[in-house]
Amino acid sequence: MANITLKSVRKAYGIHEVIRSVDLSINDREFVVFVGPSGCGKSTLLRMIAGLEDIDGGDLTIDGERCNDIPPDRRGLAMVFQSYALYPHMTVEENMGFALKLAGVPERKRKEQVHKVAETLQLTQLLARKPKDLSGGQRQRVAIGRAIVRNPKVFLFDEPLSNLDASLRVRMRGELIKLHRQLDATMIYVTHDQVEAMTMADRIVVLNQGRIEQVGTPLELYRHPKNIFVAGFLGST
Amino acid sequence: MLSARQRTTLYSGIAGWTLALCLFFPIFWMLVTSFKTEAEAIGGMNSLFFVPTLENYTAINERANYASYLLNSVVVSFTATVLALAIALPTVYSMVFFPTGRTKDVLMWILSTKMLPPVGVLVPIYLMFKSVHLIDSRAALIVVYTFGNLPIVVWMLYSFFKDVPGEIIEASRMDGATTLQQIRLILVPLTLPGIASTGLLSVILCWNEAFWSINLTSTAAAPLTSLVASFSSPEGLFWAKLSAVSSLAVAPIILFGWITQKQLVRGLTFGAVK
Repeated sequence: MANITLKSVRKAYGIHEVIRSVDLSINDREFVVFVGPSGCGKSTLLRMIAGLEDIDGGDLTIDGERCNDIPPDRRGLAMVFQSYALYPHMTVEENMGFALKLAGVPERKRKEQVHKVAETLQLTQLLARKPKDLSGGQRQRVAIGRAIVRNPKVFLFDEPLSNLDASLRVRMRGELIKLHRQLDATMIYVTHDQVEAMTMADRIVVLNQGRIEQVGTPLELYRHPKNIFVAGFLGST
Repeated sequence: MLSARQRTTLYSGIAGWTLALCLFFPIFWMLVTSFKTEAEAIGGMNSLFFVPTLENYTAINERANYASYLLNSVVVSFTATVLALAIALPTVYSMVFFPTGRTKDVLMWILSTKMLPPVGVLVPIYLMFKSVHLIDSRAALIVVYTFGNLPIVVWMLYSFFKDVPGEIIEASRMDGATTLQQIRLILVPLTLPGIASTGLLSVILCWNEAFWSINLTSTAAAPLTSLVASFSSPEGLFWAKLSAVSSLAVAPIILFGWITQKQLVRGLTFGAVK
């Protein structure tokens, strides 16, 4: 269960406003994609939901609870970073079990949980390896595995496929959609790639200059863009 | 005939060895002189051949308690280094991963304290320690060395921490790591070679520091640099004894540097973490 609501959420760096009063509600188990040109604030918005950036104004609520001042790890979220951000000095198993270790889960239970997730992602063979000995796609799967192990209510993805080559990107896209069905979790996904947005999203949020231009299902946006910006941005696919 | 590549190897080898020998020569000459008699020591090249003697070392041993000076040097250098690292680690962590618009200015400001000649603050610092009765105490030296080396420690750590991708620290925050855990479990293991070489450099700087140790200590807390200085005073210069005492003073740190050189080289050439 996880509904996320943003109410007049704002963010500014000095006098430069990067998020200007965003209102959005994300339903439980929805796959929402933030899309927009670079610098539109989509990553910042995601990081504000994650708790990595402070919210300067407005309210962020997750399941009815105001989360503005709750630290990232207590929001029940997991994030997959663009660079994967695996811990280079830890094995795959340690990477995936790190959050559980910090939470004080005993070693046996931790191992069990990590192995279970590793199996679903076909990582069992790689558990003893260090990130530097993995291919890009494998690192990506470990990063996703690390997120899943924590059993979060919401998954946040920050351009997770942009470092992969084209064919692998298409395959991972399919795997993520499958994963969304399997896990039954809310997912928020940031990309600048219209194809990713159109193929993966339940709903797309188009952002431009810190504002939401339009929210809707891929087909709604495609057929009935509210303005030239949305039409141009998605139409150029 | 040598091929072009072989010639490059040969020339760079000659250049490297020449430079290394130039740098090593003073230490070599000091060591050789320490085994001469005083008369031979001032004899220049005439005394290239001599019968080695240990009389200088015996004389030093009779005049001063080497072990006590050594202990002071060890305690002061290592304590000051550990303290400087303990202060610098969280400082640099916040400067690198939570920078503000003024972080660069703060860095510059920290370094600017190094631009002040120490002698400019000798009197106030001396009086400060005098008023709290810390003249000739290890504590005084530790305080001065800790803060004296802090700018360099901060700057070195800053460059090492900069190489750690910010997303790794953010990932650990998402995983629930507290600030201390982020430093202890992620940052320190990733930058250990850099931290080690920073620490080593700080130890060496403390070990060889003479200005403050001569001015703030006399006997009880005097480190090896004070011992060396005491041999170049009133009765005039005794080169052989001075060489012997200097050899004794640098020997431990050379040994220490030699043992840790692999770590040091790795740290100073420490690149990307990825």
